[in-house]
Amino acid sequence: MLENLKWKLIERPILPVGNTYLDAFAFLVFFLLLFSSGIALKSRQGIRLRPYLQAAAFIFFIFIVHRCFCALRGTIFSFQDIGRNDLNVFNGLFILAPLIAFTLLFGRIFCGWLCPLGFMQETFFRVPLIKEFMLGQSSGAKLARLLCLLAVFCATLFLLFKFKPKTFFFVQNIASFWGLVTVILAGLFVLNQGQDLKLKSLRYFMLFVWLLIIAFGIFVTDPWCALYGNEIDYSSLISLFAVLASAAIVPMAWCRYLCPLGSVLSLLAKFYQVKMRRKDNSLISNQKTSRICYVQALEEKGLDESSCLFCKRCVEKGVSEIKEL
Amino acid sequence: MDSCAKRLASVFLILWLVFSSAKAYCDDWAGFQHDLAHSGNSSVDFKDKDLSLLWSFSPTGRTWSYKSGSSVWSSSSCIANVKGKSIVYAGFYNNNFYALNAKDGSLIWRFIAGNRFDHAPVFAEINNRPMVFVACADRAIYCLDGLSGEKIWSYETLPWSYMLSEAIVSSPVIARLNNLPLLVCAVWNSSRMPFNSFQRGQLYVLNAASGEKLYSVVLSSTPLNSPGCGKINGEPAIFISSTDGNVFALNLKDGKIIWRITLDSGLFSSTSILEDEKGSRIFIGSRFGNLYCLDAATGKTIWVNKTGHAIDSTPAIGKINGSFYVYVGSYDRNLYCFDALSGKKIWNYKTGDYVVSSCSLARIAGRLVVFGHSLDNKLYCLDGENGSLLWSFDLGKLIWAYNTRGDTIWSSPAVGMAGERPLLVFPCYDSKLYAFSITVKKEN
Repeated sequence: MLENLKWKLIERPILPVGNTYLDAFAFLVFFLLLFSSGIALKSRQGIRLRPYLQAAAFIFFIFIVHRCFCALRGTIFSFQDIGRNDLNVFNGLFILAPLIAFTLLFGRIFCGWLCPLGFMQETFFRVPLIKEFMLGQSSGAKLARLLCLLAVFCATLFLLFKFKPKTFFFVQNIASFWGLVTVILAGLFVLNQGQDLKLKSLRYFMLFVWLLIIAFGIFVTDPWCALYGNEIDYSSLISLFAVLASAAIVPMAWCRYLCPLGSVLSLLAKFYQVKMRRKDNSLISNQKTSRICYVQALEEKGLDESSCLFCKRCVEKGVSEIKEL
Repeated sequence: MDSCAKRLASVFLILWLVFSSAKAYCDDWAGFQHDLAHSGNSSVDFKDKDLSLLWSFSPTGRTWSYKSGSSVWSSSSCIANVKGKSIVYAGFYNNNFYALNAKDGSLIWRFIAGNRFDHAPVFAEINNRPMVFVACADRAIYCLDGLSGEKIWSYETLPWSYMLSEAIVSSPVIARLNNLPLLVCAVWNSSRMPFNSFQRGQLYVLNAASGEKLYSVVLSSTPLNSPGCGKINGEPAIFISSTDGNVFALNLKDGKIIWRITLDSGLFSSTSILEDEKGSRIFIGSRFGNLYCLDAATGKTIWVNKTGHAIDSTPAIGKINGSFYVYVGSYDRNLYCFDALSGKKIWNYKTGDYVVSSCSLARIAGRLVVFGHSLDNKLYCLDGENGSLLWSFDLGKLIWAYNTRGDTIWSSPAVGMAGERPLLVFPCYDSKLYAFSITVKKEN
């Protein structure tokens, strides 16, 4: 039944690049969205535009563009084609190059303002009932969250084996394994919230493993591949389930602990000259800040810059301030 | 009276010989997807659904190697009856091209080239001489004698230079224009020469008898798929797709582009052509998972239907009760059957992994059947009408640990006759070429 689902509005290139299937229109809209987000981030009232830009990017990436914007795998694969297939190289690098440029200019605006998967995860945080469930501090609430994560883990495992391919079980399921790891890390966070920073630092190691796997020539899919590409990739769908289900228990679990693209961009964001700083005179407790920040970047000691998505909600609430270095 | 009977007997003998040889010729699987139109549809009838392995052939003497980005690891084979001898031709990744006895798989001859043979050969009898044509990744197109393997001619698409990459070639086809046999083949060459680099997907049309180039057309900077031939308004035309998402229709006479259409994504499927009373139509699958039916005269889309994932396989076209159906495999693990007229999905059969290679059609006891291969290491035989499984065979595993998804278009099965025996041939990625046939019941 899933095979026949078709949700893309545009399937043919509107502005074909050199008479090929590559569509300059998609790139132009992507630029426009990145640029608009950057400008909005810089302006004082721009924060109000954030949900609109997120919704626009969500609609654009999932319902309009007919091909996946593959930033990491496509880039690594395209390096092999330099001088051999320029079209592939152009296709692979054309996404990462502006992403790098805009991240250096404006920080992780793609993650915080445009990423559809981030937007979907964030939506759970905006539902009051789910938010209360996520942030509840009682031992009962913790136990309930742990049980839910256990159920998600079991369901992911069940789906993984139910839809496993007859061959290449590991290499065709890397996204699913990453989904399982997301659930495990979310569970570890629920057990001990104090180790959040340690868990977050794990993502660089996971990024290294991810890149290594791609470098070996393995076609690694991501949770968003099925949505972006309008394709039935079982591994992608299973990991999407795991990521979204975890995000309904631990806010933005995927973005915080595992997202490979987010990890690359967070490394680049360290070169961004505008920093968010937690106000010294901020007397708001850690419990309260967790209600403000989706990714819980407002640690007691300060602000976890590598996790910050520049949503500026903390600035609005007077917990943080922006400092130009 | 005796002489009259002798005359009658000799007339019957001649008629029998003529018809049996004509039948044998019709039952040949002459090249990629059977014919010029890539219908993948053979008239061979297996009579019985219980197929069993007749023989298998494994090339020896060379270490196999794998390079990422290979288009096909072992090429689809062709089966031909050459001067009363049934021969299976197949190229392999070990730079060897083999001619095997279709009855027992014994080696008749082999030809060694400078690089891998990764696309199907094509067989034709020209000037009463059996010839096999095959393109090689060493940038050359070879014409070999079908019986002896002797090289008749070769055409080098580009002279060697140390900055050249391996060529990505297509399966050639033999078309006839005013009785002149033409070899149509696409070759993609690239050079990394500083300041003079190029990437060229070029269509070559050669005189099949002599190897003389008639013309060539540069169509893309990316590799081209196998060309198919049909007609546009009664004029012979070539239909070819490129991996940059374009489908071209060219005049066979001079190579002029009649139309070009850009589809949704990269195209790794070749065109199949259907010509019936409703006109000429082209079928092609895309990496976005769409199966297109295009008007052969204009290139306009007649219908489009989506599968769950990329389609790299070339659609096969079969006829059941006067209606045409299109059979295609998808990366969503399914083998599909669509109505050729409306595009409506008739059935799908779920396998255990990606279905990348093309399907082949034949008959079992008069019913149309589909032979398809899935990366779950199985060769399937399905009923063409309802998609029910008739038979499946476990093949060997990939001899390499892994192949990058989308890098390889796998070989497809071929159906032909080994003498009086129907034969299903499949070169597999486990480095074996399998031949299946019905079990012959011995009379007591």
